Amino acid sequence: MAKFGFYFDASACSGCKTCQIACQDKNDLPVGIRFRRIYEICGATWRQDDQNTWVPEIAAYNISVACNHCEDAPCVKACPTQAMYKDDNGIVAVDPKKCIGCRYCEWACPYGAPQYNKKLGIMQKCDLCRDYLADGKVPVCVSSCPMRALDFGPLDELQKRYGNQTTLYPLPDGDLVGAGWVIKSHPAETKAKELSARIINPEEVKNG
Amino acid sequence: MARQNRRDFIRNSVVAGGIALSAPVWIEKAFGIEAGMAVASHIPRDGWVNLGCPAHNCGGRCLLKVLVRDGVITRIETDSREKDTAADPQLRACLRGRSYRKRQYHPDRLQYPLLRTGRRGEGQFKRISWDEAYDLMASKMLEIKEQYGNEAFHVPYGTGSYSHLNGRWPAARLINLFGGSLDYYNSYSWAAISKATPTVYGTGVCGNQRQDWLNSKYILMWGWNPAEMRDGTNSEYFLKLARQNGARVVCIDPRMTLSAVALADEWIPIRPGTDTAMMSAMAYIMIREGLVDREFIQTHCIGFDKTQMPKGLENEESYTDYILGNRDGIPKTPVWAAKITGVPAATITRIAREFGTIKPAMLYQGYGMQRRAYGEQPVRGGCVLASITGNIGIPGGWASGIALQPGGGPFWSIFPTGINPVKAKIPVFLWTEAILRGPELTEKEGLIGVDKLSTGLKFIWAVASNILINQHSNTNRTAEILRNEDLVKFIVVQDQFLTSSAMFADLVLPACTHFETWGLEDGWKYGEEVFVMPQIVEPYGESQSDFAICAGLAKKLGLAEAFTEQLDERGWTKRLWDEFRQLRFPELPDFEEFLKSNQGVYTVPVEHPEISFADFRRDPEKHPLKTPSGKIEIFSEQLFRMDQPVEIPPIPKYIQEWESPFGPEADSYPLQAIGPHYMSRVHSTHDNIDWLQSAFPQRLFINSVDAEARGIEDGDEVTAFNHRGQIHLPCRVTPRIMPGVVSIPQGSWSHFGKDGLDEQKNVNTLVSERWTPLAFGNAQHTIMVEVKKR
Amino acid sequence: MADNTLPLVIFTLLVQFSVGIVTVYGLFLLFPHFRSKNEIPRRFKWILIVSSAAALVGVAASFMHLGNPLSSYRAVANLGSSRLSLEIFTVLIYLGSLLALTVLQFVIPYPQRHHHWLTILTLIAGIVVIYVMATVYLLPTRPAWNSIFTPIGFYLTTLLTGSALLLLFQINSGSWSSQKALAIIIIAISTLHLVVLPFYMTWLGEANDATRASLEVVLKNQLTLFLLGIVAMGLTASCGLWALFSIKSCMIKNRYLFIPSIAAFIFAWAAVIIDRVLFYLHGVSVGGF
Repeated sequence: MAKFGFYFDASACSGCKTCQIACQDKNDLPVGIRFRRIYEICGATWRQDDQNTWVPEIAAYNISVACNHCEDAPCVKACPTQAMYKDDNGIVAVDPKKCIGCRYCEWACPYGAPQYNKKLGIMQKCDLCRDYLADGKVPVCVSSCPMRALDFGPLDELQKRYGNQTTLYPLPDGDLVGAGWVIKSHPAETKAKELSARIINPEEVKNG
Repeated sequence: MARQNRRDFIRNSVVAGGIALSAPVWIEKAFGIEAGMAVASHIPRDGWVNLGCPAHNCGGRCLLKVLVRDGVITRIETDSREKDTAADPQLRACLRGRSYRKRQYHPDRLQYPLLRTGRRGEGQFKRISWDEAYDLMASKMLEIKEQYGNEAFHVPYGTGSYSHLNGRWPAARLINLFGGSLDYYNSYSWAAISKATPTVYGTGVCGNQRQDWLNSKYILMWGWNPAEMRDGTNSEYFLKLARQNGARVVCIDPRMTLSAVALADEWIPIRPGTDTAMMSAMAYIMIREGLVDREFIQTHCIGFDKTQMPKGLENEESYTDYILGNRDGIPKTPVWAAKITGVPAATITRIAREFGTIKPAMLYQGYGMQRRAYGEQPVRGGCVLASITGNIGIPGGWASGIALQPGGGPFWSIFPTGINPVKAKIPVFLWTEAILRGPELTEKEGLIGVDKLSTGLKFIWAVASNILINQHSNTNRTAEILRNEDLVKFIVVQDQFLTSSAMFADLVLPACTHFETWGLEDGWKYGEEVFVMPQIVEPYGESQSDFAICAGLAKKLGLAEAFTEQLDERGWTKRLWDEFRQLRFPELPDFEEFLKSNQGVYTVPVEHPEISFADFRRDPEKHPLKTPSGKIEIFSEQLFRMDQPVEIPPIPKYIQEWESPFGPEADSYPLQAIGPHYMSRVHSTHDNIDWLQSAFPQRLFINSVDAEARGIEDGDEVTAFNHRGQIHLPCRVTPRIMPGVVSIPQGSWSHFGKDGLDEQKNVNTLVSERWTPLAFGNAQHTIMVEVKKR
Repeated sequence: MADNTLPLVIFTLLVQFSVGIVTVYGLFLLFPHFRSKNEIPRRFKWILIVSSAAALVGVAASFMHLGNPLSSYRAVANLGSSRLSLEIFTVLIYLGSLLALTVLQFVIPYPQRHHHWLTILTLIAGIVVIYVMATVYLLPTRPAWNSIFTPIGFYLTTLLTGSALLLLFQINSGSWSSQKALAIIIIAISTLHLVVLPFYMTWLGEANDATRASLEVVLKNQLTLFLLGIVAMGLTASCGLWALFSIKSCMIKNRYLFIPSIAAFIFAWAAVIIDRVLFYLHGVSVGGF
């Protein structure tokens, strides 16, 4: 079976969060659980001159991440009960019967993918809409994006079409975990590094 | 989602039509009729249904794919048609449409009519029956008509529902049959821009079909944020495609908006309300450096310089006179503009050169820049810049201004409201004046149709509108006016929730959602489509469609026949569908066939985008504009004759706003505030949807420079205040806004405390009720405030 | 992380406390010079009761941080790759050994030889538990935890809490040499805590953005707590010193000797609780994702 993954084009993402909401609708998620999260990255300095004009040195973009269904998934390794597993399609998923809600996978994941559901006491996460795969439908986040910034398919096809990039500042290096996605940088990435840009919307992405 | 209410809802649906409904469904199954077909108009469908997304004033018109199971909507997806091309793109819904289940099944939805028991604004109501509600409303209508006449009635501006069949249109139709009401002209969205654009072009239809944007090589997004407010479904996507085609995009905006991040090569922060200064300085550079299209100006424009002034006005100040400072001694140089706009002179010069040399170029004006004091000026200024660079009537160009789509349509509503026997009209924004001093209003307050009103407003019937309190300026003032029962005698609010406006009603009528009734919609400002919106679930509780409520009231008033013309919602939908065939889409399929197909939307691909003024461009003599001169009026004789040179100049001028960082008010209130549209809401709709509010919580956005100076840190509770009031809300410290400016997204619901003041998160508490000089429009973003840590 | 932080603070501290007691006692087994033939064994039962109780309460607390404890029997399923699985496994081994040892003290009193071996086994299991517990936190996604400072800190906490308790037991009833030794251990460990701290904080400030963010959490958001912790640790050392001098100066029974030793115990616990709470609070993820 082919291994599937996401493509994310950071240069086209406006941060509208339609993908997040589409996913919350499909999975009936309570508020505070986000299988897909949109991180707002920003770094800037503002300079004022004697003409009372303002000049920003600014870099800003968004990163929409669900789960990268990593080849070497740290959450699968970390899970004490083997509730977190990788299926035949390469999809990393949670077996709700085995999960004890210890949240160790949450610590182990570089992308914040495992989400703790307080009510159920277990972890939940993006499963690439695997019930749609059989019908040939793409995940709802991908088909929802008004900017067409997301794509989906067999990973090798995505790599052929879009390249091999798996990291974007300030995400951790995707190759360390075999992150199974392809990503395109925003033009402001270099400037973002210079300005030490960081996530400026933590309250919008934190679990619960 | 509240499980209890959902069960109640299912139970109600089943009880309401259970036996009647299930039989046909089983018959369907027995005869092998495919899922998704309705045997009769009121039977909910079971399966996936394609239909138009509930029509709010969001700026989009999108296709939803809704999964209905046992009469309950269980999932919402969007357009997934195979084709997704520039000519015929998918009409993808945004997060507001995708979260609609939360609105549809919200526990706070109104279920039955409510009668006020406490004082207006206290929100104390008791339940009454529809019969009682109709009786009360009809008797009040007759009473007030008897005592004051029809000019005392008003169906205010309301854009909460735009499905052609529902919203304020059926109410307007009924009121017209009842003898009419004080009507309005203009809008809260586009007052200045829709009035000012024709003063340049003789029409507001000066845009192009959006596929033409792909031909542009330079796009100035001036205060324009389509990624957030959508300005027509796919506008932001068309811009992405334009960029892929080689267009350079520059955003000029006080904020680094969602659009700026996704679409712009450069963001230029500018002080709100100073756009005309930058435009003037750009013109200065272009004139000085010979970057204007002399030939085009000569053949197609008037008023540019003294060689082409209108007859008899040769000695008046021309555009060039103003720009070069020939009369007022102030050349509008980039250095002059820099002090006002906060944009460095070198940047203004560079942008001027870019816009003057890169062809073809678009200067697209957003609506925030015109929704303020003297908003007419930047509108005219943008149109003039487009004209003097010759970007008129050519592929990839853009005339600026309101830029309605050529080719006839889309339409906001084609529902026939009939003729209003009352001839008087006021500017939409001045309804509070009509309450306070109706008989004193004159043409100076924009009154048209009559010389004087015979009465103040006594009866207000607000349908799909949160104008009464939430969306009008200076909420504390409006609340005080509405509390006075001697002024407005009776207020009816028809809505799905107990909004802040509904809290001030005497009678609240529960409207159902678009999923619960029939309707149709076409594009929002742009687009070549028409959507069908069949009823797919039963109305919640005792709620009814706006049409049905009006029909019920019409019966009490003896106007049922005239109002309904013996058609129900489905009948009217079919009728309007057929109307669309006449108006725009000759190939539009038969209504019943179309419903069966479950297509949801009919689209016409655009291979050759229509361009406004192409004929005029080719031959201005043969195809003159509808202006007095037949040409582009950089200098407008009409405006000149109004003889208000300071506030309504005949050429676009920068005018310092009545509340600005340069006036004495800035000593106490040094920060400019703006109230932009927010991604999580459509104006005030969706403010109660938890998914949306957690994605975009209501906050005050402030730059770190301003925050640090006030000891404010990210996430702190702050108070924003001026002499009109104060509001408390959390803040977001961000570099994505210009220092000196704060942003308080509009639409947050007001809530009045015991002292009768609104101190929630509504920006309109801080806004003045003063209107713009030419269009009598809402200057709703001209606000000076101070912010302190709470 | 706020929801499951408190149970984890309790779990790690109490298990470390339990191991600390057994470990320090193990030192006494190895160095008979510090004990007389009878007194420790007589109180050994009660020392083990405290250690067992601490371990049991700690393990019970760890169940509190689970969202779905009913499936927790599966938690040892992934010994191959999950350090958490291994931690649970070793804790259970340790707990089993400790409980067996405790029960045996009441059933068959010391000095039967097999107690000696079981004691050594429990001791070794305890030392391994602390090590494995530390490795759970060596995650590349939590740079502030991912260093040698984590196991160092855990072991220091283990020894400090264990010796503080044993001092209480030994005061006025144990050999002077054992009392002095325990006081010296308390002084040494708490001083070592304070010595290691600046090295740790320097490393946080230099390693990478996430560790810098972690440092900011401590110095900016939690400054008061941080300073209180340092004060508490300093007071622990001082009370240890006070205890030592009191012991040295009056080598006779003196009920006032309880005061410095109780004070040392209380300040030690205050310091390690603060230290552990700050540990969890400052575990910023890489990039903030």
